[in-house]
Amino acid sequence: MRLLDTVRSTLTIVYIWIARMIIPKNLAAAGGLDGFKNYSAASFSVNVPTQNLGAADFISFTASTPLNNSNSISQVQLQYSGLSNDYYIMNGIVNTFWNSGDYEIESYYYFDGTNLNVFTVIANQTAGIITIPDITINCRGFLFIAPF
Amino acid sequence: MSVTDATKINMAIPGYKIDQIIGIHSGSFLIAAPTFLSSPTTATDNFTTGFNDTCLFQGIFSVDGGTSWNDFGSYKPNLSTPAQPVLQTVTCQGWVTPAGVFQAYAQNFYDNVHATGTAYTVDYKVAFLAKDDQNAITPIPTNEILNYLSSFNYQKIFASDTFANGGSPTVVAHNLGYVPKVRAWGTSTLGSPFISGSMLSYDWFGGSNFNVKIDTTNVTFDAITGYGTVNIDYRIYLDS
Repeated sequence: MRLLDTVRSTLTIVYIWIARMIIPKNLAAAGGLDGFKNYSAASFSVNVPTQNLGAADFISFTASTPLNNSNSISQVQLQYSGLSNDYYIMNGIVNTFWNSGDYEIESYYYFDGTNLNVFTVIANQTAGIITIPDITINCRGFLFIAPF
Repeated sequence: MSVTDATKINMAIPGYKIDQIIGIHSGSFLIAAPTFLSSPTTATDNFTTGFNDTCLFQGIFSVDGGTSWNDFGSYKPNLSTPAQPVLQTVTCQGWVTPAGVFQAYAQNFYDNVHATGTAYTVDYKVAFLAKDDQNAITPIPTNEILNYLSSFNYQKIFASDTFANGGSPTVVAHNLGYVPKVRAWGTSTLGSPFISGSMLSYDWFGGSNFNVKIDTTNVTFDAITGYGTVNIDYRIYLDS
């Protein structure tokens, strides 16, 4: 038997041992199934300067980035910097209330064929004038390859 | 180059699990135009997975013939009148019943600002993922490549679990030191419009103002009310 054949046989034995003993424990893809693949990502933001909002008034802002979701799975996280350090997972929309419910922030994310957009509305929920602090809406958008 | 010493060869075994896609499906259905008095209109489309069980899933939909795709639960606001943006327009969501039937569910809202209602064809695509405790199932045959290829950068699952949601926010520590990606799903005993015990995408809860927050240490799930008994399945990924 040539040396290369010996190596192949040894490798085969090693591979079978590894496959039987290790892969089922550590590798979810033991069945050979696919997962989601990281494809593209973008960070983008929009600033909301501090300002007064009249009773029942609202303001809106859009943050956009050229991320085109033509055929993939996506996820967007966003942070209202100035209000919180947390990032929210955007499951369609994110709706939050701040300053004991004085104002409501609702954000939507959507793709329009060329861009990923995060549209945010800040609405005064009181009967008087309130001051909105300086808020930077930081967004993180991710695309994943799905086998569509 | 010839291999002469087998002891010099190492085989890389991934240390983290990945999502397992056990099937994909594409569908299309019509949703009628809403009126002021009948808003929203709703429509469903069923697909039997053959799993005879719930499973995890993520999907996208289009109402413009495939020009743009959005994730389940998303709305594309109508900003044609900037002073009064229309936020709730048309969306598609879904669930997988305990019997293994995937149901796409669309809602089409009347546009009060522009006094219009439009019928749509909803195109959707959904990928089904195995639960951590998925019973033995037969993956759905597909023409697409569903084989694991190590050349891709797969999302790696750092932690996953199930918990009963309720009462107070649930904090799950990850201690990664950065903000990771997270996916979540949940079952509900509510029973409408979905069948009790169905696996729901998290946009059902997100659309009801129940959020998932992430920082460099923890993932915090809001306490969910109004959905009966809710059990959350979550996955925290190693990927930032």
